[in-house]
Amino acid sequence: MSATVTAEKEAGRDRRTDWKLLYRKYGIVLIFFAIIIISALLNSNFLEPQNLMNIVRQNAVIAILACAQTILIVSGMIDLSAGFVLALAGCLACGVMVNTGSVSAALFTGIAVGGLCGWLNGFLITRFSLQPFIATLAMANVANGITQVYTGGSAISGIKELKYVGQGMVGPIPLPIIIMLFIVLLTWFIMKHTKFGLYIYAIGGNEKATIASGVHVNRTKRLIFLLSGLFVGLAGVVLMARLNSGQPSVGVGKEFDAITAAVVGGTSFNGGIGNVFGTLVGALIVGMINNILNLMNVSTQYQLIIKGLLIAGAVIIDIRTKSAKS
Amino acid sequence: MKKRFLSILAFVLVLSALTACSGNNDKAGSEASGANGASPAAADKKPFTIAFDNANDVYAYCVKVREYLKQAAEAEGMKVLVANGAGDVKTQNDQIDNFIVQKADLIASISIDLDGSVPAVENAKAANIPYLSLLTHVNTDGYIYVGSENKQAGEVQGEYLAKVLPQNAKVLYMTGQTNDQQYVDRKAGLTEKLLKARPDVKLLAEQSSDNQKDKGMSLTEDWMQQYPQFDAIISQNDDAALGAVEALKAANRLKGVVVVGIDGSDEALKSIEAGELTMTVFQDAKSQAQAVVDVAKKLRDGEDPKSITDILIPFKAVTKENVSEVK
Repeated sequence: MSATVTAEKEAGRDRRTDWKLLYRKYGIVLIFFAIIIISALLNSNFLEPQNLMNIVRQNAVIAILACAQTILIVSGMIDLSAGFVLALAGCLACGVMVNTGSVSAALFTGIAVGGLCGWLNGFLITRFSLQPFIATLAMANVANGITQVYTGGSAISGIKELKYVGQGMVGPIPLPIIIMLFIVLLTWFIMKHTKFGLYIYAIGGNEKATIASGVHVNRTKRLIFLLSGLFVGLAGVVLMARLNSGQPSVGVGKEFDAITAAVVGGTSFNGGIGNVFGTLVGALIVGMINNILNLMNVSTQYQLIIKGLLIAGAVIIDIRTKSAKS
Repeated sequence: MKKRFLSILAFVLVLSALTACSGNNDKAGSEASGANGASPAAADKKPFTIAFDNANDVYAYCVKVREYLKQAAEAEGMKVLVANGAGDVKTQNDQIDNFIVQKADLIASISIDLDGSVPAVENAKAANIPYLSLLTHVNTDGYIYVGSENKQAGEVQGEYLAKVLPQNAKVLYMTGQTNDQQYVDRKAGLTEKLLKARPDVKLLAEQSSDNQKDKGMSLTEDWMQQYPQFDAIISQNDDAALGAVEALKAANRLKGVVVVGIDGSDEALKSIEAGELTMTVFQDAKSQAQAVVDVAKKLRDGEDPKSITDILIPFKAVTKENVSEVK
């Protein structure tokens, strides 16, 4: 009898614990749905399928960049050059497209340039023990300079078929969304199901312990930067393709949009914590806030204030739910 | 070892890219002085040197002005010295001090900073060399201004739209960053010539696109959701206007929507030729450069620099009809 009661109690506690765990784990998802409901109540156009598709499409590039930042932030690093490297990779890809007419050559160029810049970031950091903050800031300047020299400051137009990478559709779904989903799934697989992914979390959680356990940390860091650079290069091509031209100045501030998405999505600056689905949700939350403010024609100055407060609020709620007593 | 080699290689590449850039500048300078020596037109006139300091060689527009200036000056047998301030007001001021030492007859500079460029003007004044500020103002007096006024760019947009928009037209306005003087001036011009002159025109919404193409595109996508019908998208620059064009094209809604920008960028002119962008406001680099040379001619003929008034070069509307004239 008493044994049964205890068992029931146990079961009850288990149920409760499970619910709390769910809440802790998916707090950001609850915020996500709360924003959807509030937005739908505020404006009837918000839930239009085309509008929802617009939000995802507009934020596909930021989501890809945010995947790159998630890997870096989880491993205790950051990339402040992402915006300018994105512009460099995208513009060079457009240049190759205009000169060769080959979409695959353009894609390859963009991704390779991104990867090279990423690897160089990693090299500076591991070889000369530079802080990621400083090394990537230096890279940002160099990438911006090369972009300006290459383009002379004006846009590269006439990219023909390359535009389908950013504007094409597969059935009813825009191609950038499919590319974004592929990158999110790829990042999830790498982070959760490979030894390399385990090292990413280990380095961010406790770098010294990771070194002590025999992991080649420097090589792993270079690989992390290489991988994130490849994502940045791809994002650059997708963005310029969407814009139907190589825009030299369009990368400004994109790295901060991506970092915001990752942090809103629950990635911790302390390293070792974060997952890529949270990042995707974070990117979409920021995107939805932008969208509803535009639909309601809130003036730009107030948009900045509201956006700042909502982002801070979302992160505070997320942290509080995570640290709630279990 | 291999990795070290790779990294050195990479740095050499980056360095060569950078030095290639500055190498060009040196070449440009020596070309200019060489051309002067060979110019036959200069024979009967006093030698005259214009020292030109660019704000930053990375801006396509500034480079265009510099090249037009060299052409126009050399046609008059004048010598042109060039320097690149590279966006740094201190660098530019030092370069202008060098021009003073070289005893230039006129210093023409795209002054980088409203306040930071004051010493350059003062130093030139102290050395009795006329200072001409091109495109930008400086927070002092005693210089000659040549440029175009942002308010007028907004007015040209407004006048054009007031003419072409139908009765009770609905318009959308995408602006630059709202903390920028350019935003205030261009908006004032548009308000005066469109919204005040045509009270029937309704402004549905005003939002910032930061003058960026991607934000202009996203904003237009959002607007198309909210406003089933509108007649015009007015942008404070060409990049964002072209973003609007991309979004409208993708949604098959470009037809019947007037899209206007400001700048006259190459991409915008191409788009106007293709019948997509309706109109842009062209800033006339050639006339601006010619105005500098006109000032130089007056000085060479012995006119008192104090009597030379500022020269405003008007913006002009460019549509499909006259796009071939400005290309």
